[in-house]
Amino acid sequence: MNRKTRRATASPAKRRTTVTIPTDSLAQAKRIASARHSSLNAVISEALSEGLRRHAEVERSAQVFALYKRAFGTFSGGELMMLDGVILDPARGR
Amino acid sequence: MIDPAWGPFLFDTSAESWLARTREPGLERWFAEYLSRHPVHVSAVTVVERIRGYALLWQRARAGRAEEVEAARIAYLAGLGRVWPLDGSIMIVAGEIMALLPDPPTPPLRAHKLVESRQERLVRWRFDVMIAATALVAGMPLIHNNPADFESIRSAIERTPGRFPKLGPLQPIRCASLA
Repeated sequence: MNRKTRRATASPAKRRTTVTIPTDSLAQAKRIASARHSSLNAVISEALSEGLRRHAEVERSAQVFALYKRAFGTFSGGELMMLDGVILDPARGR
Repeated sequence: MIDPAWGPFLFDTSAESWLARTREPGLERWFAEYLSRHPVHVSAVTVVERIRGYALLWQRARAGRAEEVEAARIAYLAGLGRVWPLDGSIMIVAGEIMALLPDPPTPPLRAHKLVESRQERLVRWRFDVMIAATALVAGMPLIHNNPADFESIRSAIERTPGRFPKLGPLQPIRCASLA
């Protein structure tokens, strides 16, 4: 196993970057880091991951909702009953 | 008001489609919020009912319409959430419920000049029993739009808890009361 592979399996790949964030968010993150005896880097990474996870969930929700609309949206009441398992046929002897 | 975070919930066949089509803003928001947190859990029975419905509509449709029905079926399958199989535990519970309630609590449905046959009504009733049994074994509340059937089942289970050891109560929740 070479050095590159070992690093990849130990923890997710990381990369240094520069972002601009609101000062009040930064102050809040610093307070949390101090209270937890953790690093500012860890707090911001955690908050970012949580935000991205939530964003992915909302995106998935919108995708599934759109699929549901396509699955059921174009049917009449009678057709929808059939899709719900209610099979109606013409009454006999009337 | 039922908090979507309390999920996951099991959705009865008609509840799933009803929520997908509702235009009531509160319920739309509730369903979107639910979908952002959990997949829609359904019984394998719901998949049977649904796919049979699409297949019958496709068989009876004219050429252009058949393509629309097929597109809707594909969309349904693409959005399908968690499907609960009918395993031994679920079928044991379903058998107990069927013995307690052999006949459907309401007569076959009618609409205009159309009628549901007795045989179809019995099949639908037994499907509902299997869906209720799935919710009971999975320990999930059951979202439904069919109070006559599911309240009968809930009440029968409550009257004979000895036949359902370590299970229940069945927790039916009506679609309209979600938001």
